Amino acid sequence: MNVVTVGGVGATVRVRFGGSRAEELDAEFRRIWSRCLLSEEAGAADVRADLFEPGQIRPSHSDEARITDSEAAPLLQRLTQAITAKLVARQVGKLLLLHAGAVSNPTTGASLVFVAPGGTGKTTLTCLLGTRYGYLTDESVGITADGRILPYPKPLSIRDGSARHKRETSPDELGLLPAPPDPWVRQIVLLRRSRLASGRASELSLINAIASITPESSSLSKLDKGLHRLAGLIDATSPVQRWTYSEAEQMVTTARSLLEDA
Amino acid sequence: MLQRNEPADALFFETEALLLYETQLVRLAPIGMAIFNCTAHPIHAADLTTALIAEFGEPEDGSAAKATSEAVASLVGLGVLREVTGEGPRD
Repeated sequence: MNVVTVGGVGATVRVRFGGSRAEELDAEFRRIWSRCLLSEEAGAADVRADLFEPGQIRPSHSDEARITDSEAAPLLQRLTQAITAKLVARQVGKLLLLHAGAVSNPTTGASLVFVAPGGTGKTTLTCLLGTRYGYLTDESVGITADGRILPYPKPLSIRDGSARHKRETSPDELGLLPAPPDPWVRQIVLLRRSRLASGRASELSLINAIASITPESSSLSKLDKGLHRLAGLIDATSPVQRWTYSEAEQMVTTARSLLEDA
Repeated sequence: MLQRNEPADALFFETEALLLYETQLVRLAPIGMAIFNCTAHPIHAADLTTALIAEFGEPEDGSAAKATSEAVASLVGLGVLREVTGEGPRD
């Protein structure tokens, strides 16, 4: 079976499928990764994913280069994590890399970058805003020295009701708009979920913004003058905002004003 | 003798600083900033105390040496400072 190349944050990863259900896995992967697919060719892979019949293998296995399972959903979820880790690793020292979601004005390319640790609402906000603004990513934002964003429109991990595993879901299936050609950072936002919050945006001082964003960056210390690069980006855009909310819908109006006033 | 570990990058603000090390970001208050500035080269703890007294005065309660020692211990724990051997210049 050929190797499939996917791209995101300006880098590529090559994936090969195997196991008795390789064709099923290959077809599902192509469907949910449609926005990141680049090519198909023979050659070596960076990651191998093997899907077998239930009971055909011992407990699921994964390491950096090989993922094996008898269930498609958890395998695809771990495959997304492995691909993301490899893409990000390839851009360490080159790009400003943030754990963030991002959407973009389809006309101007002005983009909202919302920074938060995993499990704190990036995907939910992305899904909400991405039906009106271009979907750039829900997990890893790569930013060039001149403030351009290199999109990574990966599948989104969505929990279906009471399903045991989250399901990797195509952005097409969710109705998310495509990324515009040249997205750029209009505004960085830090997300804070609070059960009783009514939805509030506040500005952070530069030092508080950098201190809050740095833990949500990838290998900033490997980027030449990484703190200066982050400070320069904030200086060139506008003060970082912290959004404190309980439901993502509370922040839609604020997001619109930022994305449409640019 | 004490000497600072050089961060990958640093930003200095009016009264605070951010130091970026390989695995963590350290935020320094004014005394931490002063210690960082005094330890580009190895310095004896006593000389560091003298420098801090010159900049901030004697602490209102407790001794300057004790306050310096506590601040140094904190910065060593954060990886900002290290103890080095050898004879440095004494003022």
